Amino acid sequence: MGRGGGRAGPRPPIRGERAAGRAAGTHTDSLGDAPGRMDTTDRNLINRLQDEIPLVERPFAAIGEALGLSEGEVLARTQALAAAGTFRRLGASFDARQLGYVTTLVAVRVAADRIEAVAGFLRHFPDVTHNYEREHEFNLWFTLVSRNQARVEAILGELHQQFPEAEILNLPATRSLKTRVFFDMTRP
Amino acid sequence: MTLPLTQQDRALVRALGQGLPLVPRPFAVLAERLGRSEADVLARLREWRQSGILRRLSAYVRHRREGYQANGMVVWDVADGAIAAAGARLAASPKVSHCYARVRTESFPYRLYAMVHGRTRDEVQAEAARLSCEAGLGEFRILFSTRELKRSDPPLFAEEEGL
Repeated sequence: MGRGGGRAGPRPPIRGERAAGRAAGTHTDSLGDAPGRMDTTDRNLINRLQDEIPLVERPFAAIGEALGLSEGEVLARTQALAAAGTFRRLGASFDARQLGYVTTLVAVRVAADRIEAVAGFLRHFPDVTHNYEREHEFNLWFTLVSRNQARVEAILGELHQQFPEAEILNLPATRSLKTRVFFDMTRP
Repeated sequence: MTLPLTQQDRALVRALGQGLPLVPRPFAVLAERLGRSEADVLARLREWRQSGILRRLSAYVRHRREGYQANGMVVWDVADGAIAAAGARLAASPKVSHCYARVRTESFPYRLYAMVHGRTRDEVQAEAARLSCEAGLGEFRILFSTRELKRSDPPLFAEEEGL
């Protein structure tokens, strides 16, 4: 059960500081990494962390086993990468629909000088999880994760009331074919 | 598809939304916060992982900062019968993060959507063309994002905070 590493791993503070130094931009290793905040080990680690955190008692020890690192070194490097802002957090992605939520993508066509106003209006709804300006006549695209269909309709109704000149398209998914975000960090 | 979750389970969903603590036994820390045992929390998470409720537990990279500056929503109009096969082809690309079939409307007559990420616009453009060809899809449009206006975590069971 992921008990490969030592209890706390070889984890003297200096190691953490070294890893932090790399991640913060003071170190470039000799392998030709991009002027670099991260060395090759960091890059392999971040790929592994993006892939999946194993659901075992000591996940960092398990990751370390796969990468040939101690649990302590995995943790120190992970903390340094987090501190440097390379990733936002180790988080869970839930299928909101399976949890009973209604999700959808909404397209809005609005005059360019009204985008800020629409975005400002939408910002206050916790249901709005992503909102992007895009190059198209439908120039604003946002996603909703709402408690139920009535709530989706209430938000879209309010949006229409506030901005009657905007054209609004509700484009719910009929089928989810992939949700797997992964950015290869080993290709500088 | 909806599973009834206990109040404890909903609290676990919320706790995970805040991220996994960076300590040797993160699930023990979560469990303690929630008044459950580590074994219980792990068993539940494995169950959710199995059923797909939990898609994944992983690091969320700040991809724009890390050089992935270009992001395009690529859309195709596809006949209903062709969606599964084409979608599987698109999903296989590591540059595609999300792929959905969506309702088609008169003002936006597309059915298949793929989010394509790249370091440059050219890279996104080339990948869209390659995918389109490989999946046997015809014409496509790319809607490049020009500005992020909001990005936040889904408010899963947020209204129960503090119960």
